[in-house]
Amino acid sequence: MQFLISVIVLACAYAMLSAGFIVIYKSSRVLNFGYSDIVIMTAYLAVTLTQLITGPPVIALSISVILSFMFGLVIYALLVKPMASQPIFSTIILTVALGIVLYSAAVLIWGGKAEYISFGWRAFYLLPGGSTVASTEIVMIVITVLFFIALFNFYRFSEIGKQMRATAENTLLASQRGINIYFVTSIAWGIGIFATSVAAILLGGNYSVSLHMGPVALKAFAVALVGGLDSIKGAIPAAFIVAMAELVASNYVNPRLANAIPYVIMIIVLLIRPWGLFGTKEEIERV
Amino acid sequence: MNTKKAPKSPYLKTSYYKDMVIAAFDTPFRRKWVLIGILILIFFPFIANKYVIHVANLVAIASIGALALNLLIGNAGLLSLGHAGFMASGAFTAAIMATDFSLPIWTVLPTAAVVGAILGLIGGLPSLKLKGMYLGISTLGLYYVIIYILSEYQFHGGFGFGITIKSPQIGPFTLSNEKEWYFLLCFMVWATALFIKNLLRSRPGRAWIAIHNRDIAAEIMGINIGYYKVMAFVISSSIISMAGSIYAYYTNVASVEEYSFGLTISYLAMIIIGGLGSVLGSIMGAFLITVFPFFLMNIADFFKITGVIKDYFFSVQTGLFGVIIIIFLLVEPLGLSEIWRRIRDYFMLWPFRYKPLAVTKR
Repeated sequence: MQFLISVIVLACAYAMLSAGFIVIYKSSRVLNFGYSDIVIMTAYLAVTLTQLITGPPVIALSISVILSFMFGLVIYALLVKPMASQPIFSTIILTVALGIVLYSAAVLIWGGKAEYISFGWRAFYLLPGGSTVASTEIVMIVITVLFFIALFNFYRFSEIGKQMRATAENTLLASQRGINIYFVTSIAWGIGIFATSVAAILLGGNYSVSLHMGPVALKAFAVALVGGLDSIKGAIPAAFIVAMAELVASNYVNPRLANAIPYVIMIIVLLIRPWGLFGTKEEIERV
Repeated sequence: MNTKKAPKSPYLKTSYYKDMVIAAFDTPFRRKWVLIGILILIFFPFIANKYVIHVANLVAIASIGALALNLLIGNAGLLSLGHAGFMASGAFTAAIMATDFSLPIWTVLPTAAVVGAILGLIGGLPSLKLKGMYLGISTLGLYYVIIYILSEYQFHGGFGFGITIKSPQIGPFTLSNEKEWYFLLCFMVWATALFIKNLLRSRPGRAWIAIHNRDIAAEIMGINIGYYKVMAFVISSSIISMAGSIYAYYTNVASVEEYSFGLTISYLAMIIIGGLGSVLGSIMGAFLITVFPFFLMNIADFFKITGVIKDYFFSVQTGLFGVIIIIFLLVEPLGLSEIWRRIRDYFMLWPFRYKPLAVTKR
């Protein structure tokens, strides 16, 4: 039971992380390799804001989340948009370089100390069956569920969401039909970094904020690929599969294997079903 | 038309043989400068101090790795993020063979190449099905698996901080000081560059360029796409693996921690800053990226910088490194080799000597 809880919590973390990743990929076809460093950056930002702003931490955390949204817009406008005519490969390296810059900025500003985001309270509840669940874990699960519901509804019903789907489907056609693709894509980057920031805060509240968050966040690639790079709903089962396999490996086999196992699953999926569990098959041909 | 002047032009090739000669010695101007360059390379270790030669050796090792990676990414257009894994496998092959079985270096290097080739075969197999970024990520996965296996070996073998390797012996010589290594490494860089240059001018190279430009068209023209893709992986990763084992020999240690994902990124930075698909570019990029940290360190020492910047100097360094990559990608995506070409063309034109041919952008 305790094992199941930790699987669910880890799966929620992975699902959130990979959601941010997938939203960006879907609209701009850019794999954001600077992702893990953005996680570190936004987590530290949240830490600083909670320390600066007195009052309930919700205010500080929502400010940090909004700042991350704007940060996403800035990244798109300054770095990704000028790369539009370059091969996609160069843009990916650009995100890697961005990640390097952000990582070193985080080290310089915060000195790489391990921090902790406080939600104001932390308690442990005893469940029937003898297992415990922390309040932060409950927050994590609830926010993940809410976020995914909001994201699905956003894509399904809102005007910008529909435009985003159209852009993802066929960018040229979308622009011909009068959709401002730059606007839509920049919003997608904003949402992507926003989701990253939420995931970073949840991770930071539940575990800790440190420079070691990077490798954890990097596993979101594996999750996104297992689920299908352009499929948000694929992220949920994929996150469960990866989290389950990882915890089984770390609990019963060897903790070092746990770092490799998501990638093993990813390679297997790439070999058998390269477009992922829920991805579209044509996606492979596009890249 | 004035035929007397025409043969002097370096662009006019009147026979197939002339076309195939590597264009280092074709004009008096180039002959002079290449000779001067070679002389500088030969006499350099006798003037410079140990530290500078050490940096030069690191540049040479990085050049070998960058040349091989550029072959794969720049020419064949196959994205690979498993570079550090292939290097680590080479380093550990050297460590196991030289330490446990005390075999000499000339058996170790070919074995490292074979190990690299096998891993390249494994890494290349997904390329039959995957393209672009998907391929990059699958090689990233392979990297993590390799590192996992090697770290298991390292920790279970009881080598906490890495396996020490004795300096190799070639005949009666023991390669232990920088100067001896320098000549060996220079020779190796030359050999690798020549090998890759020749490969690119022959059938496989042309096939790779065709696949890079448009794989469907290449297939229609009768190129066996799968064969050549896997071949690019095998050749490149075997050279990279050799570079890894040379590096392990040079530093006398093989440790998993050295082969982080950051290493892959710095190699990618080398070939991007140098220029994708250019042999000269890989060497220039390797030079820039390897020398850059040492250069920064000297600057910091010179200005006696203290405080936060000094305490976290390493991250300042990597941060600037990232900034440089971003600037290059935004401003000069074709890299140093393109800047070099422009400078060369400028001096060639000056004063109105030859009109350079329009170089097609790729």
